[in-house]
Amino acid sequence: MDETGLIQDAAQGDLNAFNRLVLAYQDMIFSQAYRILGDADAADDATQETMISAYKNIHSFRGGSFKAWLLRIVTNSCYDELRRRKRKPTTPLEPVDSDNEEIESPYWIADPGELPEETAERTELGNAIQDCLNSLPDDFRMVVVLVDVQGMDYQDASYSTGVPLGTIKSRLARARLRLRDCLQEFWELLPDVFRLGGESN
Amino acid sequence: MNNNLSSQDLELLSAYLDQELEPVEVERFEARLSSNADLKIALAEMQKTRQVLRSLPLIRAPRNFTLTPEMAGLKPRKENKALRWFSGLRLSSALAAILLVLVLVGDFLSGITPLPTTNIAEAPMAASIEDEILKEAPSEPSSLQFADSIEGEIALTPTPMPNIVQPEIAGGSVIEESESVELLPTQEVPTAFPQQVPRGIGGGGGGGGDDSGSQLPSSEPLLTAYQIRTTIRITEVLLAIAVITTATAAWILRRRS
Repeated sequence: MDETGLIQDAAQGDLNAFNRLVLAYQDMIFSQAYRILGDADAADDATQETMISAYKNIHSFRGGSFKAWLLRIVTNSCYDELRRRKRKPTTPLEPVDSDNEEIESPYWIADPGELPEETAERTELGNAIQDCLNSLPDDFRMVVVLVDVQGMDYQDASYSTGVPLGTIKSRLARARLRLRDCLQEFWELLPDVFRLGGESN
Repeated sequence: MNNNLSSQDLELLSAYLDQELEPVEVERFEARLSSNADLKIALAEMQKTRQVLRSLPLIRAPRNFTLTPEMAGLKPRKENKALRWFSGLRLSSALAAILLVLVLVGDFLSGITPLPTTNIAEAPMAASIEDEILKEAPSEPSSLQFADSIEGEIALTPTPMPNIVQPEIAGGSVIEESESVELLPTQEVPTAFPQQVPRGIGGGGGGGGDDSGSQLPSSEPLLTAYQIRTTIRITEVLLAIAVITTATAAWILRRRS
């Protein structure tokens, strides 16, 4: 895929060219939104808003990392949703299990090649990690997802969040510390190679 | 991880792990690592935490987030409507242009074929002759005067008897009367001049009053040809206007879309 050509065509109003970019990046954008917001429906809305905003502002893209540019848009969209939540907290409509936790539909994380018990374990681990991410402050969570989940460097993370490089370093270090403490509670779910806490203690 | 580490050490650990330190800083930190066990343990734990996070699977989008024209702020309905208008206007412009060319060609070809010019050519002559008549007898309308004068001439002129040739019966062929009898045109009203005077020319009007002495059947073709010419000119102008208008409207629609 000639990304540069598609971006140029999209900037000139070619909707088909832009939609090809959407198909290439929608998983990454949705994943970022879900990891930050912790909710599939909210992530869906944020992703759609991101694509619409990206199309309308693609003429302002001046080169560089298109991925970082898209992540900046979705990060801002997630910030807007988080601020909305703080103003108007909502009660989730998803069904809950006996532990009063939402029963998430795993249809988009299911691996058809897995055994059911493997799927259950992986789902449970993924939920545990997501719970730890959700426990972080919004600013910390934003940075750690960009760097450790999306694999961005500090410069791109600074561009996507709009905060200085030093702030990125500080927030990332403190987020990792908190995550380490949170993951210790789920160490039984972690694969042996990831086991923490017991070794250090 | 030893929670006694300072925030600065935590940042150094994190940046070292991500290879975001300057070479000088790396050298200095590695020197500290080799002599500080807590720092080593903290680095190992941070590294595993990062591995756990990076092991998270990329979540696939549950649906396609491609944009429709409405979502993108485009207006396909109006755009299609404008396109239909553009197509219609373009077709109309082409048809009007073809019709204009046909009319122009027809007009050009009709111009090659000479129109009957006798009526037109002799009209001024008739007018001049009539003026002379008017000068001679200005008190009466020229046509009536002329008709009266002709009638008067007819009354004075003795009508010669028809020269009837008796058919020879004996020994000869029967000659039909129609062949031998010549009817002199003495009873005919001379119509040379009245024929040449078009209606409306002259003081008294060509055909006013007495129609019997002033019938001008030859004036009708002149008026019909004039009307035809005028109609053709008007048609050409209207078609040209239609071509320009539709073509301009199509161009404007195309620019807007």
